[in-house]
Amino acid sequence: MADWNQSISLETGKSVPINLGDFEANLSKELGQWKLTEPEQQHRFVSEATELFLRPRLADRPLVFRANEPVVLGPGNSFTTYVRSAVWLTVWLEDICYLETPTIRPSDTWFGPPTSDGELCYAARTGLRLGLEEPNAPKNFAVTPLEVVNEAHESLTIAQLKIPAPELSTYIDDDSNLWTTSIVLKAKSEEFAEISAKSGAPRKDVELVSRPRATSASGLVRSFMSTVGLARNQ
Amino acid sequence: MESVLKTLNDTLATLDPTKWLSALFIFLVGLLIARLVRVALSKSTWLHPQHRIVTARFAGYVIMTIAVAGVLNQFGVSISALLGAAGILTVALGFAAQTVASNMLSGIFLMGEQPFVIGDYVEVAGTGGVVTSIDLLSVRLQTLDNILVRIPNETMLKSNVSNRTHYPIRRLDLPVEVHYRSDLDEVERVLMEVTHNHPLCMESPEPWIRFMEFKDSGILVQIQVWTLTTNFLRLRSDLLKAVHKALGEASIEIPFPQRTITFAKDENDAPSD
Repeated sequence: MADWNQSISLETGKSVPINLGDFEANLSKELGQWKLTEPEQQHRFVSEATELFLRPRLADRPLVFRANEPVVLGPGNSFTTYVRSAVWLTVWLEDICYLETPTIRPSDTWFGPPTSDGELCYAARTGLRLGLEEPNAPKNFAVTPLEVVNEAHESLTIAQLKIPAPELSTYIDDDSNLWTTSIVLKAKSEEFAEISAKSGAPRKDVELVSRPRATSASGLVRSFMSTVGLARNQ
Repeated sequence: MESVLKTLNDTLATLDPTKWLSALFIFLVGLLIARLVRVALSKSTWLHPQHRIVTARFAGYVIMTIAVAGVLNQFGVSISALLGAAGILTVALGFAAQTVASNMLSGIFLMGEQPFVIGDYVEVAGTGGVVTSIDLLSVRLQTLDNILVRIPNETMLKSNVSNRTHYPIRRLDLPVEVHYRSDLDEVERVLMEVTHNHPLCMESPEPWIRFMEFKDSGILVQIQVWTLTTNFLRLRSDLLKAVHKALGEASIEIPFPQRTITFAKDENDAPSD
């Protein structure tokens, strides 16, 4: 069974099933080429490479998590939660990426007013749930540790939250569970907040598998609620 | 004008070769500078893309006019005499070229106002197409069936122009009728599920299902979803197929127009006048 970030070597004419959570496919080796067969499509990679790697990568747009019910965070309070997001599968042969495809295609969503002021995002399949337990995510989901701190003098009502997925690294632990960079979100006032990534890996027993797609010029620190991603109920 | 031509004729007859060479040099330098400026402006990043072509052309014309004036000066032609002749010519042309002037002014207003840019899909005066160029006199559209349509700027300024791609997202309205016997709560649930299952239907702004009207054959339901403008046509087709399939699987009937005709058995059953 093929797994994340492991060398896959096949003899010509042989195949191996890929079962990464909700993503199922079949990988086979033919003369001078590799073939990845998904239920609805097929990809061929012409290469003489003898080994292939499957690596996860986070979404190419920010992800919006909607709270199942609005969360009111009192002034001076904080909470930590874990959010799960489906990853993209990348196929590597001789350090060249031949394919990138979502393991689950999330729905599109718009963050902000329906004009050019908003931002195109993906809607996360899982809602924003409070709870300190680390979620047991399927293999095609990465877990992002998220800490929200309300440093404002007023209480903060959170209806949805935007995570800058393209700017986060992906890590893998010994059990092939996927993790991303930890995020801290600090609300400074009703209008201002800042989001920052904690430096380094989110846990000790993890290894980096994918670097961020994009790097924020400001080191992922932003201001204004609208750009950070907290939004109150409409 | 006649005096200018006479001067030019006399000068050409008596001109020495060095002046010919000077004139040629001035002309070539002008041509080179005009070309360089046009290339630089058409690739400049500080100008808006749709202004680049017009600005580059205009700058090229100005430089070439100066170069030609320099050439004529080598032949001893007085620029002031030329300008005087040009003034009279301008008045004459002005009367004859009112439409051109109107289109040029409209073009300048359009470039300032920017109701659309190159690449937008617009509909104007019953014609829809992608804007391929915005020039001083006209706007060119490429229709979806690949026909070039040239619309004068004056028409663009006077007409209602619908820009279908100005905003990044659009609302798609899909009306569907269901039979009067249908369980409307079930209809709402099934249709909402269809919108949630299609990744191109945005989750925010939220999909909207509303029962609109009692029609002749059934109840009119309006499905409203938001999608990326670029996905609009694809989603309309996908959604129609998905709605048809989902309603069929849920045994919800899409009615078609029906008429019940009753034949009179005898004269007593016939309607009276």
